[in-house]
Amino acid sequence: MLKNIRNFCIIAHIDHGKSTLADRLLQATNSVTDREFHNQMLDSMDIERERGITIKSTAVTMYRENKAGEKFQLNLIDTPGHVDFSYEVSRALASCEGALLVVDAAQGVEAQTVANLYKAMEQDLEIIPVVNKIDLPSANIDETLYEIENELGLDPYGAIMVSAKTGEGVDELLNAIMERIPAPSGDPDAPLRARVFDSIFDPYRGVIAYFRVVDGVMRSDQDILLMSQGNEYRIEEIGHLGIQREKCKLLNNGDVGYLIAGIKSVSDVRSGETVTTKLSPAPEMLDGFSQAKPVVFSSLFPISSEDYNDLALAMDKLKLNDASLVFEKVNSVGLGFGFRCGFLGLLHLEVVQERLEREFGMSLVLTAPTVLYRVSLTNGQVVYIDNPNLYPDPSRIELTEEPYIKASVIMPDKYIGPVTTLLLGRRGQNYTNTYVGAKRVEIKVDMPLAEIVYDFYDKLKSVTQGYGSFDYETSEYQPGNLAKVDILVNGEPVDALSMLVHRDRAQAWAKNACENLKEAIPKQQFKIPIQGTIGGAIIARTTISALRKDVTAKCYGGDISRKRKLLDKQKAGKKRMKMVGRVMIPQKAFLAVLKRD
Amino acid sequence: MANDGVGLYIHVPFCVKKCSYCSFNSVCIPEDTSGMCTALSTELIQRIDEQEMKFQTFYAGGGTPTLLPPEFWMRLIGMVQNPNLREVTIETNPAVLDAIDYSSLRLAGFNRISVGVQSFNDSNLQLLGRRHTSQEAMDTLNLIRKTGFKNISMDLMYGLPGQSLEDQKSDILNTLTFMPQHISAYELTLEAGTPMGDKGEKASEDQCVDMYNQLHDMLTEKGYIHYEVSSYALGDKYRSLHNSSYWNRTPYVGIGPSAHSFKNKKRSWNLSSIPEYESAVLNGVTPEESAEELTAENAAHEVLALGFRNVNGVDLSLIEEFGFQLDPSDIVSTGLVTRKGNLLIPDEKGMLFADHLALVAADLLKGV
Repeated sequence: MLKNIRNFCIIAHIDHGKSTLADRLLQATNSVTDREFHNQMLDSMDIERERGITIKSTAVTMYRENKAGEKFQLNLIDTPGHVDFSYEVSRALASCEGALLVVDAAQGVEAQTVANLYKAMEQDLEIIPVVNKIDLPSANIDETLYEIENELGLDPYGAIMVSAKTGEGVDELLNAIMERIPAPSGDPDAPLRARVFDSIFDPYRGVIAYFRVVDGVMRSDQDILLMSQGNEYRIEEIGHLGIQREKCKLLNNGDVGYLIAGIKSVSDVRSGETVTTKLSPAPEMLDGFSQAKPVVFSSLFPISSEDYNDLALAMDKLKLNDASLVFEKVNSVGLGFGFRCGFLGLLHLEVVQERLEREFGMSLVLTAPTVLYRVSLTNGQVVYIDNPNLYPDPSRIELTEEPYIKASVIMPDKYIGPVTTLLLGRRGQNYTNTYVGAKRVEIKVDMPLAEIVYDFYDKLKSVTQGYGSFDYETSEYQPGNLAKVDILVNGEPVDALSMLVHRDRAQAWAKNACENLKEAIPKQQFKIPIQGTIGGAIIARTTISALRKDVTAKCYGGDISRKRKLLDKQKAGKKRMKMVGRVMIPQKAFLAVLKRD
Repeated sequence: MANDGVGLYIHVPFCVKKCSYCSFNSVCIPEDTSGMCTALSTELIQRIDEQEMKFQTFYAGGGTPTLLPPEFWMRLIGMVQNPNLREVTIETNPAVLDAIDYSSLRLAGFNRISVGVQSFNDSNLQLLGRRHTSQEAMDTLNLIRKTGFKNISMDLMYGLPGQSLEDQKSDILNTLTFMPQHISAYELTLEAGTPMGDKGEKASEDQCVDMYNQLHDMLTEKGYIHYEVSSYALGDKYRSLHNSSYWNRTPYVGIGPSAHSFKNKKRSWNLSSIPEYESAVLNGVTPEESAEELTAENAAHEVLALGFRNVNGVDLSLIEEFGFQLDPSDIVSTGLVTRKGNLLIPDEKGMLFADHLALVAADLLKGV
C-alpha cells in the first residue's frame, strides 16, 4: 500500500553517528538477526568502514508497525555526505520524501550538515532533526537545539533525542518517521518511471542498479529502456533491498528496489537515469539528470613503467564501478605512460588511489592535483586546461580564468583569528562571519578552488584543533593572473612537477617547492640542482649536496638480523621511488611541491 | 655445516658506569655477580650439551667482562678448551685499571685483549661519559703489554660533536705509539634512548668522511690493512677471527642476556632482561627470547648487507646457492666495486657506500 511506504535518508556530518543510527534502525525493526549483524552494516567497502564515510549510495527496506498496528515499509536510502559526491546525494534525496538530520549533541551543527540540509530543502523533504549522542557526558542538548533553530531554521520542538549507541529514542524516531514523513506520491497507472540513484558492479551479475519507482509498476519480465541513453535491456531480476537482495515479481510506485539486466558498466546507467518500459515508454524523463563533472585532475603513473598495462586494466575495472572516474592516456617525459584522471574532488581522488593500491596492488605516483582552467586565446578560441603541461604559450593567451567556490567554515569562535588568516592567505574574498550558536561562528568566503586542492583540510584541522568543519559549493569562473612554473631536477624538466600558480606568488611558490623537494629527494652520489623556472627564466633554486657515504659504522655484534631488516626495509622503500633521468625520486616528492608551512 | 669454525660469545652485561653513547645491554655492576657467573656457566653447559661443538673463537664482551673474576673465566675457557680454539678475546675498559688482574686473565687463557680507549683527548672522553683519562688509558695499555698480551686491539671513536680533524689526528698518532695489532675505529652512531643519541649532536657528514679518510691514510701508511669499514689489522693474521665469523655467516653461539646465536638457518637471541635471563637459566628453561628461520631471500640479503662492508666482498656463488641471480654489471659500473671471479670486492670508497651497494644489489636480485 502506497500510503504505508516511507522513503527517507539520513543527513549527517562525518562522525555524527549516521552509520550507527542506521545500524540501530535495522536492529529495532528486526531487519537483521544478531548473527548477521556487524557494525556499519550499510558500508560495504573497506575504505568506507575504515574511514567511517559513505562513498556509494545504497538502500535497505525495513518493516515496522505503527501504534495502531498498521504495517509500514520503511526504505532507508543511505547516501554519501561528502561534497565530492553531492550529485549522487541529490539523486538519492530526490528519491525520498523525508530526511533525518542528525546532529551530534557534543559537536553541534557542522558545515556538512548545513550544506546537505539545503539540498534536502531544495527537494522539499520533510526534515526530522535528530539530536544524537545524548548519552555522552559532553552532550550539550540545549545548545544543539539552539543551533538547530538558529542556524538551520528548523523547529527545535520537533527534534528527537537519540543515543544511537545505546538505542535510546530509536522507537520514538521510528514513530516520527511513520507519522511525519509523507507517503510517496506518483501515478500508479502512468507508464513506468523509476529514478536510479546509484549502481554497483558485481563481477558475476554485472551492474546492479538501485532505484525508486516514481510512476507505474516494474515487472520482472519486462524489457526496459534507459531514457537518457536510449539503450534497451531485458530484466533478469528485480527485487527489494533487504540485508540481502530479495527477488520479487513486481515493484509498485513508491517502492525502492534493484534491477539486474545484463548491463555491462555503471557508466551505462548513471545516477539520475530514468528507467521506463520498452513497450510503453514514458513521454518524458524525470528531471534532475545531469552528469557529475570532474573538478580536480591529476596524473597517475605506475612506479615501475613495466606495470603500465596492469594499471590500464585496473583503471578499466575500476571504471566499471565508478561512473564518475574519467581518464585518458598520457605520456610524461620523465614518468613514461600513465593516465590523466578527473575526479569529483579530493576525497574521490584519494578513494581511487587507495582502491588502485589496495584492490589492484598498484604502486603509483600521483602528480599534484590541479583544477580546470578556462583559457581564452587571442584567436578567440576558448579552451579548458586540466594539465599544466598543456597550458598554451603566454603570447597566445588573452585571459585565463579559474574556478571559484563558495566556502563555509563552522568553528568555535575562539578560532576566528587563525581561520580568517588561513582563508585570506588562500585568496579568500567577500568574507563574512555570523554566529550560529552562543560560541560558534560560520565564516563564508569565495575562494579559488585551486587553493583547497591540497592540504587545506589538514591546515584547517590543525588551526582549529579538529573543531572546524568545512564545506563548499562550486561557483563561477573568475579571471586569474596565472603563470606556469616548471621544475628542473638535475637540469632536466620534470613535467609531472609543473604547476599553474598565481603570478604574484609564483616566486614564493617555486622557492617553497624547491625546498620541499630538497627535503623529499634523498641525497645521491652526485650533486642535484633543483630549479624553479617560468618560461625558461630561473626564479628559484636549491641544491641537494652529494652523498659522501652510505654505511653504518657498527654491525651490532652478532645481531645480523637488525642489519638485514634495515636492508629489507630500504628495498621495499626503493620500490616506491621513480627513476627520473639519473635521479631517484620518491613517490611522496611529487606531492611535496604543494606542501606549505 | 662443519662445526669446527664455530664462535662462542659470552655477554657480560655489567659496567662500572654506562657510557653516554652506548645502547648495548649493560647496567651498573651489582655488588654480587655470582648469580650472573652461575647463569653464564650454566647456560654454556646447557648449550654445549645440546651439541658437541669445537669452538674456534671465544669472545668475552659486554659490558666490561674484566669485571668478573679471572677464576670464573678460567673455568669457562676450560669448559670449551679444544685444539681448534685459536682466538680467545676479552674486552676491557681502562677505567678499572687497579681492580683488574691482567696477568691472571692472561693465565686464564685469554690470548687477545680489546681495550676500549675511544680517545686520548680528556674532554672528548668526558663527553662520551667515559670514566677514565687519557693517561689511564696509556697506563692500562702499558700494563697489558707488560703482562704478555701479544695481540692487542684498541677501540677508537671519531665523528664526535666538536671534534676537529686535528683532534682525530692526535688520537691516531697516540694510538700509533702503541702499534696495536688491531684497531677498531667507529664513527659515532647516535642511538635513540642514549644521552648522546637524544641530544642528537655529532660531526657533520663531511667531517666524518674526512676523518674516515684520514684514518685510512695514516693507518695504512704504517702497514695496517683496512679489512672492514671500521677495522684495521697489522697484517692478515691479526684480523679479528671472531668478528669475521659474524660477517662470513659461520655459526656462533651467544651466551648471556640478549646474546645472539646463529646455527644452520636459524638466528636466535636471548632474553635481554637480566633477572628474567638469570631465572630462566637457573630454572633449566632455555633463555631464548625469540628466533627467526631465514628464508632464502633473507639469507641472500644478509650476504649483501654484510659483504660490501669488508674486503672479502660478496660471493656471487653464494647468492646462486640461495636460488637467486644477480647481474653485477650495474654494481661494478658504480666504480666502487671490483669483480674478481665470483667475488664483488668493494674498494676503499666502496666500503663507505656499503649500504648503498647492498640496496642496489638487493634490488637487482632475481629469483631463479
